[in-house]
Amino acid sequence: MKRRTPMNFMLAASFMVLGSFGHGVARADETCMSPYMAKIVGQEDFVYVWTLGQEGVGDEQDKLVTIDVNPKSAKHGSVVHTVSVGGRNAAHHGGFTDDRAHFWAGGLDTSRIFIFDVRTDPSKPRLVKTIEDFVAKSGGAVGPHTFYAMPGRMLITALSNHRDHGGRTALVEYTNEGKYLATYWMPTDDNLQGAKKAGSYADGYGYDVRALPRRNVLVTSSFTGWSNYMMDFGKLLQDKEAMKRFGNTVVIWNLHARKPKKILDIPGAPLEIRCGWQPNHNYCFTSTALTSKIWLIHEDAQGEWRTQAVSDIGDPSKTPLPVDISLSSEDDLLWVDSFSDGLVRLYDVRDPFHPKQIYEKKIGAQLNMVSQSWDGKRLYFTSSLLANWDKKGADNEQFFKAFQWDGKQLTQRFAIDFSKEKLGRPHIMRFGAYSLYAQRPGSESMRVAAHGPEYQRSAR
Amino acid sequence: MSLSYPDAGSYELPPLKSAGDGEIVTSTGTVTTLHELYAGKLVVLSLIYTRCADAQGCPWTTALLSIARKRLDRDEPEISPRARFITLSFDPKHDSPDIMRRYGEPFAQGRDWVFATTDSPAALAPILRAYGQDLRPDSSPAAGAGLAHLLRVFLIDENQFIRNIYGASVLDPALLVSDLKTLVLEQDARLTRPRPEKGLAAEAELSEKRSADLTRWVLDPPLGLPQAPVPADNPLTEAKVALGRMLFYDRRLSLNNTMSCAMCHIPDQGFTNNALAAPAGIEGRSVRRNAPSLYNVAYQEHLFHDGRESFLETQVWSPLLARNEMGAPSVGWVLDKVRRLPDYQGLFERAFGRPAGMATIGQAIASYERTLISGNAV
Repeated sequence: MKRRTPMNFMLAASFMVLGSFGHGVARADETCMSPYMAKIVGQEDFVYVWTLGQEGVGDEQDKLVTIDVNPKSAKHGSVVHTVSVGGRNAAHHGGFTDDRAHFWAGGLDTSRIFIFDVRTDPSKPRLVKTIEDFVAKSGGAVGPHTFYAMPGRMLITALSNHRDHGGRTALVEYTNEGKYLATYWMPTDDNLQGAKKAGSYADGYGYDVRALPRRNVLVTSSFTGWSNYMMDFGKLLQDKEAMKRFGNTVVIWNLHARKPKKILDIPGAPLEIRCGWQPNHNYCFTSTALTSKIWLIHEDAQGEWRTQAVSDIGDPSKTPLPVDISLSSEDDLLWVDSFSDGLVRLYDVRDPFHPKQIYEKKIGAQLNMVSQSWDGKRLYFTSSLLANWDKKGADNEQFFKAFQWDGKQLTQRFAIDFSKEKLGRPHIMRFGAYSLYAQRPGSESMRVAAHGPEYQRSAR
Repeated sequence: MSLSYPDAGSYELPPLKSAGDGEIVTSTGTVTTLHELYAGKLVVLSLIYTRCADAQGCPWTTALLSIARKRLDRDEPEISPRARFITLSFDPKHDSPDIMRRYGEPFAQGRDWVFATTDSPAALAPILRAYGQDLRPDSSPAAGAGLAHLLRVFLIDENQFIRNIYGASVLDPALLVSDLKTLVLEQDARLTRPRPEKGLAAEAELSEKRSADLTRWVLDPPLGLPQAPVPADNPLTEAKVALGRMLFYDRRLSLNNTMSCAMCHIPDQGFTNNALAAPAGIEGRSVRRNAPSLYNVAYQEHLFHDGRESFLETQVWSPLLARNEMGAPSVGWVLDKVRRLPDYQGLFERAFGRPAGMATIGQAIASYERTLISGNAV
C-alpha cells in the first residue's frame, strides 16, 4: 500500500507545487505550476466582492466591487473600481477559471452568469460575456452557485430547478469559453443513478462542490430551492412546510466520470465544503446552517466515505446560523462565520475528529463570508447572506472588513461601509494580484501579458 | 489505498471545442501543421518548454506521457496504432528542432510520438490562443528567466475535437489510457449503431398531440363532471391550447425572466404549491395567499380567493402585472416582449388570425387553463 506508484508520487509532487502558493517565495516550482489554478505569489493586491444590488441604494444593481488591499498601495483600503451588470440577479458566489483569466459570477435569482476579464487589468475587471440561457441549456437547473475551476472547464452547482423552484438540482459543466457541456442531476430516491444511499435521505439538493483529485472524488453539499432562498426570512421561519425543505445530504461523486457514488446524511443544510490540503488528509469539513455543527466528511482506512458531527458551533439552540468556513493551508485552523450572532469562531482542527474552539470575535451585527490569505495572516469578511434573509433596520450592516491575524487575535486593518458607499450587499470575495499575470500597475508587461504570445518581445 | 477510476466506456467525454491549427516544425526539421499531424488519429498534445526547471512540471509531464505511451504500445494493440502523441514547445526562441530532437529522443524511440516546435513567436501565437495556453515570463531568480504557465495536456479525437484537458493533478497514465479507450469504444459504437436524429418536427408533432389530448378533456370530461363552459367569443381550439400552454410555462413573461404562471401553479403539485404556505413572487417578494389550484378552474364562476374576477381571459393579467408576482411593468411591455420573441412568430396569427394582443394572450392562456380538468379516480 505504501509503494510509491507514479500516480501517488505525482500527486505528492503536485501538492508541493500547490503548497508554495502564496508564501511569497518565488521558487523554481512556480514556473510550471498548479494542479488546477494559477497562484498568487505573496501579497494579494485586490479583493473582488460580488455585491447584491439593493433597492434604494446607489444604482440598485448587482456589481463587482474591486477593493485595493495591498498595504503598499496608495489606494490601500479603498474601492478602486465597480462594474454594474444591469439589474439585480441575487448576486451570490463566483469563481475564477483555472488560468485565473476570468471571474465567473452567478445570480441565484435570474440564473444569469457574468464573466469578467480580470487578467487584462486586475484593478479594473471588465464584463466580457453574460450567459443568459443557463436554465434552458442545462435542462432546467436554476440558481448557479459555486463556480469551481477544472482544467479548461467550470463546474457549477445549481440550487434549484425550473419545474417547481424546489431544491432538486444539478451540477452543470461549461468550457472556459462559456460553452455548455453537460448536466449531472443530483441523485434522488426516484433515481439514485447507481449511487449508494448510505443514510435516510437522497434529496437531490445542491450547494457547494469541491474536488479531491488525489482520490478521484467530488463532494457536493445541499441547501434549499429558489422558493426558500428567495423568500423573506421571517416569513420562511413561520412556514412549517417550507422549513421541511432543506438539504440533508452530501454526495460523494466519481470525479472523472461525474457520477454519484454515495449519498451520506448530514441533516440541517450542510453548506460550504473545505477539503484538506495535505496529501494524506482525505477529508473535508462542512458546517450545517440549521443545526449549527461542524461535520467531517472523511475516507476511512477501508476507502469508505463517512460523515461525522465533530463539534457544535456556539449554542445550536440559539441558531447562530453558521454560513461560511475557511480552512488554513496547513489544515490546522478552521474559521467559522455565523450570521445571526455576527461572530467568527476559530477552531484548532489538527485532530479533525475533535475540533477545539480557541478564539472568537464579534465582527458585526450580521456576518457572512470569510476569506483568508494562503499564509493565514490576512482575513476578510463580508456581511450579506441573501437579499431577503439579511437583517432589517439598524442591524442591516453591510460591510467589507479586513483584519490581521497574529496567531492570537484579529486586529482590524480597515473597513468599508457598503451602505454608505451606496454599493449594496457584499457577498463572496476572491483575490486578485498583479503577480498572477507578471504585471505591475501601468507596466509594459501588462499590455503584453493580455496578448499572450507577444510576451516574447517584452521579455527581452 | 487504490484509486477508483471508472471503467473505460462507462463515462462520457463531451467535446469541449475544436482543436486549433497552426504551423509547426518537427524535430526532423519538417514544416507541417497540427491538423496534418492530427489527421485520422487520436492525439495527446502536450505543451512544454525544454528549459523548464521545475522537475514537477514539464519534465514530469513528459515522463508520465512516456509511461502512458509504453503502456498503450504494450497492452493495447487495438488503440496503440490509432494514437499519436505530440509534444510541442512554446519557447521557439530557445527550442529549435534540434533541441526538440534531443529532448524527445529518449521518449520517442520509434513510437508514434512527434516532438515539435514553431518557427517563431508569431507562428506560435495562434496556437497558444486556440488552446488557451496561459504563458508569462517569470523573472524570479530561482526560475532563471523561465516561463510561468499552467500545465495543460489535451486529448483530441479523430474529428479534431478536444475531449479532455489534463492539469498537473489529473494527469495519470492509467486515466489517459482509459480515456483513449473510451474514445475508441465510442467511435466503434457510432460506426455500428448510428443514432437516430430527433428533429424539431418530432417535437412539434408531440406538442400538437398533447394539445389535442388536453382539448379532449373539455369536450369529453371524465366521469362525474359536466361539460365545461366555454365562452362563445373564445371557442376552444388546439392551436390556442398549444399557445396558451407555451405562455403558461414561459418565464420570460416576468420582468426578470424568472417567474412563469407554472412556478406558483406547479403541475407536479396539482397546479398549486404544496411545498409552501404561500409562494414567493418575483425577487422573492411576499405573496399573502397560496396560488389556488387550477384543476377544474373552467367551472369556476368567481376567480381568486376573494372572488374579485369573473373571466379567465382577463384574470391572467393580474398576476402578470402584480409587483409581487410576475412583476411586468405594463401590458404594453408584455406585448412588446412577446412580439419580439422569435419562438412566438406566427403562432398568434395561426391561433387567432391576428397578432399578440392583450385579448389574445388572455384567451390563449385561458384556453389552456380550461383543459386542466380532473375527475374522481374510478
